[in-house]
Amino acid sequence: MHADASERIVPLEPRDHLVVEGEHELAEFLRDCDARGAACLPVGFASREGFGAPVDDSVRRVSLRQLSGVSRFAPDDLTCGVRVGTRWSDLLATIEAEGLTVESGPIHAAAHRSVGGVFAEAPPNPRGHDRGALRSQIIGLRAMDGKGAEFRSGGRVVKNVAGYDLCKLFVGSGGAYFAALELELRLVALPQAIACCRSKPMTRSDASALWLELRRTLPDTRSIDLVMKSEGSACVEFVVTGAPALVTARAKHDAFEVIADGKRAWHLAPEPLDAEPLVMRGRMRPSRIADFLKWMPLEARGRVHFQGAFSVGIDSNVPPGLETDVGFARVLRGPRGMLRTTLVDAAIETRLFGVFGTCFAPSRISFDTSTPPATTRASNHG
Amino acid sequence: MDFLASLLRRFPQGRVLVDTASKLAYECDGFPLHRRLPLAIVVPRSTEDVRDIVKLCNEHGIAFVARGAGTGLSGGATPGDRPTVVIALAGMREFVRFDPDDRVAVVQPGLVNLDLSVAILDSGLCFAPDPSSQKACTLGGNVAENSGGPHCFKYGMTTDHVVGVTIVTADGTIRRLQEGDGADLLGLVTGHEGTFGILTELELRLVPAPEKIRTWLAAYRDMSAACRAVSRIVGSGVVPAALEILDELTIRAVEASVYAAGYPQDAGAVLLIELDGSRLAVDTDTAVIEAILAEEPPLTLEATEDAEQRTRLWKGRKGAFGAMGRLAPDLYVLDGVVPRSKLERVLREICEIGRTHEVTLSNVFHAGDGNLHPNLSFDGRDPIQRARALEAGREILALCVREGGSISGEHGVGSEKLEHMEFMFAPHDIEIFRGVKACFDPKALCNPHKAIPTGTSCKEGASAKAPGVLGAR
Repeated sequence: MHADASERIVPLEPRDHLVVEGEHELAEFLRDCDARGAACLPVGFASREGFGAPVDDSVRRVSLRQLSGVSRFAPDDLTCGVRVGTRWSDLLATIEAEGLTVESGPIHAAAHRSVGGVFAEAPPNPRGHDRGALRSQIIGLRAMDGKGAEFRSGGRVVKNVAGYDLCKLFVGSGGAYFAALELELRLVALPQAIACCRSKPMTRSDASALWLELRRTLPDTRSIDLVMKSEGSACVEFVVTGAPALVTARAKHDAFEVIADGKRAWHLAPEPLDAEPLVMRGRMRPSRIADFLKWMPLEARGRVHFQGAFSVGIDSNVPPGLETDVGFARVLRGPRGMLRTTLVDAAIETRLFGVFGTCFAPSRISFDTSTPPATTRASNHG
Repeated sequence: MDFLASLLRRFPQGRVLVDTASKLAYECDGFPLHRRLPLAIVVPRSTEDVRDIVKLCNEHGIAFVARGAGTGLSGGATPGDRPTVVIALAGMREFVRFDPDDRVAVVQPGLVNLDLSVAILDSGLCFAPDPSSQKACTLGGNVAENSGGPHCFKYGMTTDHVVGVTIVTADGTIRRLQEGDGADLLGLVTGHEGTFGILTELELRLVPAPEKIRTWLAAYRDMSAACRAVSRIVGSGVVPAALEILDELTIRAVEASVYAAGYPQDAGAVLLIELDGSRLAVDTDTAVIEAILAEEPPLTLEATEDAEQRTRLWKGRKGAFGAMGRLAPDLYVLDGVVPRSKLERVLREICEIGRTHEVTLSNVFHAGDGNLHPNLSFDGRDPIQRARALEAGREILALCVREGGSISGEHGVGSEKLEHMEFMFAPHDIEIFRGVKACFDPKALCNPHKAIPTGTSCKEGASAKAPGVLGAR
């Protein structure tokens, strides 16, 4: 894990953005886009602009970074409302002062990432395998459609099934459906004690066996990651939380050493993959980890989280056949642009774009470039 | 060929029911205030059967609604106000696949919730969502409604435990939605209340069965003291598996029924607290809970780690709705949610609403997450009592929303709360919801007039008064 990754975030291709000062201005901007038939893309601090589908130069970018601040904080109810342009680190500073935090994370480069951007990107998440992943942390939202009209979904309470859950449609959307303005979040108590433990480096085969074993046998963990390092080695990391006596007992594990504890362990972000030529993300069946590793080139580095969500950086071609071989896997994003994606359901998604107005840039999540870049290094597969 | 003839031609005898006796069994679900006879009931066995039924409905413009065990409490599986085919999924209850290493099970939608956990008991895994009706309700219904249950305070709602679904959408297309990166259509579909299509296969996430469980029953003089104990526990950072409260009237009804659990009958409220997890985690958290309970000692306190005793303590809670039958012939179970910190005050106001409308009102609720179940007991044969119950329910849900909460925490909107959606959502919100439904169901054939007001049904906004919409018992 990388203790201070914030300096690693650099907007890859800075572009001109309109920075709206308020919601009224955003509504006017959206109406103007609609009238001109121009596509637009909401961004926060644009730190991930180059990380995802390439967006046509004609697409007008609008930054929501000024829509910031924690708008509502109810520590007793374990909820808060936050505007999308708020820095993730500022959100944490406010809620952690009251002993609360967000279950998902850690979010790498939190000082450079907006809350809206984090949820819109929905990076693979180490924590929350037993208490709800990133997608489960938004309990309500207020947003604007392509005509600048405001709408809501969800609410401010942790349990609510009234209306369709459009929060889910925002998480991972890349901002393709609508412009979120304010999110209502579920919070959790900061654990009393936290420890992050790491094994010694070993072969990928041994590490994957250890990872599977810990998944089966080690209770009280918040995360268990298989960490792939370059040159074919790997290790296993886990985070355990709870009462101090519990954490001390669980951290005493023969093959592991404690590499961080307390809040530092909670915020210890995975190594960033921003500089990698290609980043593959997806989800696989954990039991297929051996097959997955067979596909991975030796130089590949990254992580496989408890539930099989992975994020791996490589500088070679994506192995053909990976998706079918390991089950869930989808190859999604590269810093040089989207390599290849699979629409979840093209017919439904295309109709959904129409519901919210067509001025948003649907290509952010929904196009297919069938020709991958040239291979720069051979895969170790077959 | 007309619609029914086509159905009868496609499905063998006994799989299409059109006789009145059968139709009566499907005229409503667990929300008896809305009733309507279906046009027919079809009993599919496979995804392909469901596809064929839906295609026929699509060709003939016939509405259809999925039904599992019919335990829903919001009228979600009740036939609508136009000729409707009920697709009865209770027979599709195969356990398709179990992958313990991946902690997933693939099942058909008609499998009963509890049967899944029982089937995998030896693996050390279980399915966490546990609605009170888990002995009868089906997993398809749980996913369609995004069901909760006492233990979702710790484990989350059903949506947190769904990895993938197969759904037949309204045009008869079989679609597979899976958890992954990109647009989360799976999350959108979970909780659609059967309005996007028919779920025919579910891939569900399993969690380790707890190594140890410790349950307390704390009896308090009044509701306020029980609510204060809940606040202290939640504030401590300990996450119990469940925090449930039953009020005085519920305690008396339970203790007089077959669900008697030995709750102290002189108590104003009882609080059930449950910790589960590893032995070490339960042991360390037990010390915290017991210190909190000692701060304001309850009238009586019972604690157990014994499975039989635990079952007894939960018997009263799980049987509470059944025990209400002792109070009156009909029961209207509400499902409002309020921010937990407002529980105590809102409960007082709810009781006042009950008194104003002269309705027998009792409370059983998930205190940890502020999900209230005010129960209105009445005799539906008396139109005055029925109208009072409905008006009291409307006022209670309006109160929940005014206090920052919701009209439904886990039962769904169904047909019951259509007119209450305006408490929470503006007209444009509803328009967006309608647009989303149309993406899956452009002809509005799939469980129409449920979950989202369509603005086209006479019963929306007037269901409490419209003759013929409310069934008298």
